[in-house]
Amino acid sequence: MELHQLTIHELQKLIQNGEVSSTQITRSVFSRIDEVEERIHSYIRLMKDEALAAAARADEDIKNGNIRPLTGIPVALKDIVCTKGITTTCGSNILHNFVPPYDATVVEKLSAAGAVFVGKANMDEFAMGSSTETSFFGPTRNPWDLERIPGGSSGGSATAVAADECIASIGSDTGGSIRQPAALCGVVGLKPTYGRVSRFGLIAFASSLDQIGPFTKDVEDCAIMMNVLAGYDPRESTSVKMEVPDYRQFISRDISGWKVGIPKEYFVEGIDPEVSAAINGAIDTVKKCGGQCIDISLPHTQYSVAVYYIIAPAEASSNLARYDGVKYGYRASGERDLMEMYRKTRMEGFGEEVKRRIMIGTYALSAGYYDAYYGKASQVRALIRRDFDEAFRECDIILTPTTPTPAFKIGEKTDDPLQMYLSDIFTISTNLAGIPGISVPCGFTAAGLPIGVQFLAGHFEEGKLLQIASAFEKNAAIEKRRPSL
Amino acid sequence: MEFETIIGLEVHAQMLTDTKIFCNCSTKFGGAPNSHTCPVCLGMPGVLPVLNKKVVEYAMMMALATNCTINPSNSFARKNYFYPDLPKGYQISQYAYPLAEHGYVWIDMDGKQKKSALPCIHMEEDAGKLIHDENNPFSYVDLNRTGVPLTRS
Repeated sequence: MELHQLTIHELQKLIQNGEVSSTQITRSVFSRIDEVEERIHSYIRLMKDEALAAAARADEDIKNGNIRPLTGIPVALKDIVCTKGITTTCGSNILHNFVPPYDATVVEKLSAAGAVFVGKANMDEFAMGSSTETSFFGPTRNPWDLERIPGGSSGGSATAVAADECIASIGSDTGGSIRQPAALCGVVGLKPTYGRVSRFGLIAFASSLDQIGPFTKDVEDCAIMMNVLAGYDPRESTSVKMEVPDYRQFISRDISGWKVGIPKEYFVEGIDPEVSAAINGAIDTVKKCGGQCIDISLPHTQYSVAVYYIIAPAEASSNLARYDGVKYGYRASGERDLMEMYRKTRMEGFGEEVKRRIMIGTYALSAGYYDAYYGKASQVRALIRRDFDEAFRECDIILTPTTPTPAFKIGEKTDDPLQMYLSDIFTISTNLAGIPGISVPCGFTAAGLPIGVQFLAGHFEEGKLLQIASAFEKNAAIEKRRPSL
Repeated sequence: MEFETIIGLEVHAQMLTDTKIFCNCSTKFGGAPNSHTCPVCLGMPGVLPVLNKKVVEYAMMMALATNCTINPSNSFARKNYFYPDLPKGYQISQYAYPLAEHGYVWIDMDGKQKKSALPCIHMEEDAGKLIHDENNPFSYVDLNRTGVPLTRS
């Protein structure tokens, strides 16, 4: 086994025993990157010099017996979190040269925990997309089939973990952008409860939906990352003052007697038959673990995509107003006056999908339409959230497919935005309700493409998610495969 | 034809706190351009506002002084427009759910006391300042003033 193939907890044991150094681990990761990165394109920017310097510091710490939760572990960061002194592009031309003067809170936390940053991972532009095809820097390819998308918008963060180009990574999830690529790339991805992880330094897409979360190779690693990421931040007024439990305590615990809700609205026409079969297999595994599967209903599910595609673009249209060429980023040249500078900068700096959503959002918020669109969508959103509140009175966990299909081909859905939007159909309600969700690998298609199962829990019940995900992972006996690159 | 003159005033008053409404920067007047700034009031990507408690207290004092009803639950709203002195592309203000409402002030008119309605008091942030070069086609943006706390009534 190569060092880059191991998990955080496996590497921690080796580090503690003095068997490996962070420098060795980091070099192993970078030689893997040399091997495969050209074919996959997980990264917008690699940080090799910074990583080796951080690894050297980690090795000093290890020598002095100062071993913290992530000391010496190479981690990738979706290029949507601000890193001081290192370009942060959001996958966009309009920020192609933006160098933040500060670190995001999660970057500070990971750094304080001893992590070594490998690079900034590729993503759909401004997190708007489900395939990483809208990145200004070119698409990322799925390591399991290079002709296919890895999912999005955190595509690069998912592929970097799947292809061992880092040990763990950070992504963001607004409508499924961690869970969907996790499922399509065969890794674990968790979106925390809204308010569990600080958004300070996360370049905003939709402020009431965005959350930062980890991608890992297994559930125990996910718990390790959550311990570092979660917690109140005085600089972030929507982060909640709630104690962070030790998430590792939920690993390898029993789930007998747990009620697992199977929502009928998530098991309808249009799901790929191989995905259906894998999910049914997952339900059997849960029963094997002692879980009691019960039928539940989330009656307002059918409105979730429509509600999301009013609320998210509306919030984005406001959040992206600051990209105007005045203070930082791309500024168009040859303009004759201020208005023309604004117009040209935003026309040239933003890609098509971003412009599409800004227009939808601006329209939905405009005078005369605000109540009919944003107002109405907010009301339906409350009903979607209420569906979950009521469901969680009947069950501990909800189980659903993460995606309706396995990874589709590059270019397959780019001509039809609505088709693309539907790939988030099972993940979107989670963000609208603010509850946490995790995607865990549950099988492969005959063609060798990964399939994920999604577990959802009530607000701030990440512990429960990790508990069932861990039990599932142990008992599902999914064949351990690596993408053949 | 007879016309009746009705005059309404929209008054913006600076609340004299030491620091800005959403960040720790100094509100002191007259510093070197862009010296009382930080990523938050500069509207850098990824930053978030944190409300200054003193601002709420001062606004409440004004509300009490003008016989307003104070709304314990009130919210901020974004006023979106593009201008170089507005770094976020929106001003954080209040709209549908202001801090205080239904107040009044007494004014002296021809020896009589007249009640003048003060419909609402909003908390909001100030924008920056543009300095136009008289001789060249340039304008300079000084963002020291962005985020200075104001009431609007």
